[in-house]
Amino acid sequence: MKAVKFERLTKRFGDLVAIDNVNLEIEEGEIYGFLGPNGAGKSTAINIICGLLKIDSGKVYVMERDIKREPDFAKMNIGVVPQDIAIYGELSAYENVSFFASLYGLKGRELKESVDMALEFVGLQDKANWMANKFSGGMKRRLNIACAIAHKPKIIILDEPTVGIDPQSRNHILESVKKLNEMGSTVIYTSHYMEEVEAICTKISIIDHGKIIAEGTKEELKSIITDTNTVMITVTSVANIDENKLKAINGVKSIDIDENTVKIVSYRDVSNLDKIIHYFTSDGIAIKNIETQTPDLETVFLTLTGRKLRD
Amino acid sequence: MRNTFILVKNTLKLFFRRKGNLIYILLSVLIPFVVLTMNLSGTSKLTIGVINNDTGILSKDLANSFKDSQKFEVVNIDKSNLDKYVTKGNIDFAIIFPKDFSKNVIEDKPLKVQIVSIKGKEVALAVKSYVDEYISNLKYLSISSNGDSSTFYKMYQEYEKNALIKLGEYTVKDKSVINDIMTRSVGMFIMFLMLGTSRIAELMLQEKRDKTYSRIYAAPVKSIVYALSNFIVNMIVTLFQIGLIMLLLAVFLKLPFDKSFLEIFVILVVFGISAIGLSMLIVAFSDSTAQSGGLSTLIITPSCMLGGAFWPIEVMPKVFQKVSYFMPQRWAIDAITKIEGATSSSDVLLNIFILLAFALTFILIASYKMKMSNKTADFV
Repeated sequence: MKAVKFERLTKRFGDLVAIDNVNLEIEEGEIYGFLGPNGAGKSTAINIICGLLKIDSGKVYVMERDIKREPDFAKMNIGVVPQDIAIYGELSAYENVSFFASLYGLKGRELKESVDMALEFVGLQDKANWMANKFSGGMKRRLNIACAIAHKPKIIILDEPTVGIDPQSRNHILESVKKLNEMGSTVIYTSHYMEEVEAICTKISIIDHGKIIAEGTKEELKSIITDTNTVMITVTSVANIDENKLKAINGVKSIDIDENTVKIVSYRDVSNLDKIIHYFTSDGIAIKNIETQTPDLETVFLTLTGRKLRD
Repeated sequence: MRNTFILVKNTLKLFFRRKGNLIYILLSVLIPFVVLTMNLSGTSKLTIGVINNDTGILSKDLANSFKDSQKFEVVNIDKSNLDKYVTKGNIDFAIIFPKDFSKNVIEDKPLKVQIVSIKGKEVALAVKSYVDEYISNLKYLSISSNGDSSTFYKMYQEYEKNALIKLGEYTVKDKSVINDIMTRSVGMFIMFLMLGTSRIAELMLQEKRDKTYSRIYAAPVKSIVYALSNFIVNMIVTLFQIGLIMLLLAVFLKLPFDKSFLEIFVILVVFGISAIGLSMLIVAFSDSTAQSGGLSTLIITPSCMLGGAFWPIEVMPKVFQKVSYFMPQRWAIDAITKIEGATSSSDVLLNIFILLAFALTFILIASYKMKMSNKTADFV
């Protein structure tokens, strides 16, 4: 069964096309990763799935039912963990989860059991009566998740759930995502942390300028760019490097300069390492180290979009 | 329906858990009440300036009858000095007796007693009704005496001894002062009421800022249900404030639970609905609590001034008096004045309809604006 399906989905904000004629299918039981820089259309896509934004054209199905015709069915089956912590500081952890869960029709013993389960799941059962504004950043993030899962949704959407938290809470959240998936939920996950997406997602799509520019498992995505080689050259100073001269070298696809390291991606079928080294030596730039790199998702993203994920 | 109840419960819990809100609600009732009580206990005498163009005895007796009350002081003034007395505040209102007042009373001819008041319409109305009552009693004597002055004066002496007629004047005079203070206190209360409704409506903006609004909207909750729940919370708090002040008036000022009491309650409730409508309108056109706070101050205080909440509308320039018709406060205060003046209920009905029309207009515009804003809701 398809948990989420887009059919020629388009969404505009004035002249800006946020989602441009996108087709997408997310199978039930997947942990599906959305990768894309700010403004790529990722948030718009999630807002549409959640029923927070109206569709201009095309169709969206949740659990194979049209969200336009049955918006409440879609909402009942989705739990969303927003990037910003959306909880009430003046309410206790228990009251927060109970309030949001009750909006999905839960009441009585079922409500109590669901709230207890959600708090236990995120490891906050012993702090159920604490006011949320007394929580640390990591605890708030965990409560943010608890509020989205108490009504036992079939699809859980997590948008940047690990931003600005300590490594311990981060690991807890990542383990929780895996556990939720094992318990039968389909997970849609967005993150700027490429290693998180790489570690937990079974399928990934890369979105840019409102379009899906690549989709597949991480192995499939890496295979897209196996026609390239990456060379990392560490120099004493990058001040005098002329990017245009480097880009002019035959076969060079993209360049990224970070502190004293120059990352050069070249087409595999072009042999240009000698020319690259020649550029550095002839311009008087001292080379400290040279290493080649196997592609990771960051490289895939950079190669496909021409920019870093956090640009 | 169930979600409306859940949202109302949650909003009430949040509102009263936030520091200062409960204190604000209580103070919004207690301050106008304390001001009212202090003014009533320390009511100073009202000074009447009498311009007497009459040479007869009747005008003098009428003016002196005010003196009998502990609430009035009577001074004789010259017509040429009237403006000076009024602007300097030496007198609170003036009674101008025309030439041949006494003669015309005896001969049952038309009379024109002019009353100039700077204390507001309610004082002028009360004094006028007292003067009218006094004159109409004299007219009975004039009819009975067939315009014969000696017969009239004989009967008049008997009339003067009649204590029953004089009893009424104390009530009229005292009530006029109380009504004036009451109206000003109501004006202060409705301003606090308006500021209170803004505070509650602003919760919607706080929820948008904190993203909890979007989380609610991501559940099977329609935006109209959310707005309705905020309206209900606002209504509950407004009813609590109105109920509390009415209770205080009944218990401490011994205001009787009669028709007027109920009418004042209804007027305040209807005004409360229009104030909630206005606060929702302000929120609908604001992007942040800072913006709505600024807009509220910019709208509520001047509209209270123009609507006669702080001073009588009659003291404002004619242009502002015309503008005041567009302020719901004017219609609420006007209704309270009518009720205090013992006007019939049908007169107050017009004010109720106008206030409801204000409420409906505000709520419709706010709903439309909120619906449009939701189309670009942003969550994640």
